[in-house]
Amino acid sequence: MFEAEGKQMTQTDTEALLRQYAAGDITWTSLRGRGITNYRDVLAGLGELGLRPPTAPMDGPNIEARSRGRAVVREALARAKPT
Amino acid sequence: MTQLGLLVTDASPLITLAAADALECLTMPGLRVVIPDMVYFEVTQDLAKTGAEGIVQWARRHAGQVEIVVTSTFAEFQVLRGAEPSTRSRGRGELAALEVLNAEIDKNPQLEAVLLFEDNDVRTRRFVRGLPERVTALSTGDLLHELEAAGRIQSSDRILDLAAEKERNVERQRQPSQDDAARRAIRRQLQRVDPGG
Repeated sequence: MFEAEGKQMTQTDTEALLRQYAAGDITWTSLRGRGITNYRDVLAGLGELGLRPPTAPMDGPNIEARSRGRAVVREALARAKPT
Repeated sequence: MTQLGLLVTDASPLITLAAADALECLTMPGLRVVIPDMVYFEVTQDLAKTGAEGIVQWARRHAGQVEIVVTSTFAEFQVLRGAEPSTRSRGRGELAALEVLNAEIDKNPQLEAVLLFEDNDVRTRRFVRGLPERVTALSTGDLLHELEAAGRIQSSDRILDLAAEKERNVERQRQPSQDDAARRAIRRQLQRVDPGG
């Protein structure tokens, strides 16, 4: 399915990576580092496996920045009128 | 006092939402949405792919709210591609987004800006902690969950499912058919048929 720079990845390799990605075990940056350079291919591969793109749980080292980001959106939504 | 004002997006959230025909999710909060030119290039470089044309139309529909901003990162990329056409954009969208964020908050000391990024990266990557003060981070999932909680969309999961399903269908159409062997057999058969009957 994917051709990493210089070498062909097997379907099994690709599936394993995509499953890890969907489970939140590896990042998109990490996938790019392994030669999957187009995010559309990631979405298509997830679709083929019946998986959806990951949503990050509210944990980890960046939780404060994300909480503030969500608060900004919440406040903006409260101000914005539905169209 | 801070001023709510800006959402800068990286490529993967745009691609995901475009694939699901859900780009309106980005404009619903009413914030200015900035797409760095490098990111715009990454997501629209092949308009035949699903979603890319949708991004162009959506940006036009929300002219004034959605803005494509020039960056040195993209200018440099173009120079490199001029010299070496196979140069890849890898990682430059992120750089361009940071460049835009820095320029915007320098320009406006009251502005609070949000960087929209891919979920697993936002959750774990070190660069998020190094973002300038007054810049916060948000993942595609975070945005969708807030919209769902505010009753602005029905289901964030549904949008993400749609993105994957639609890209899968496009990919299937793009790939050579698995029925190629059957097609070859039919072609051979047709060649054997005497056109004169």
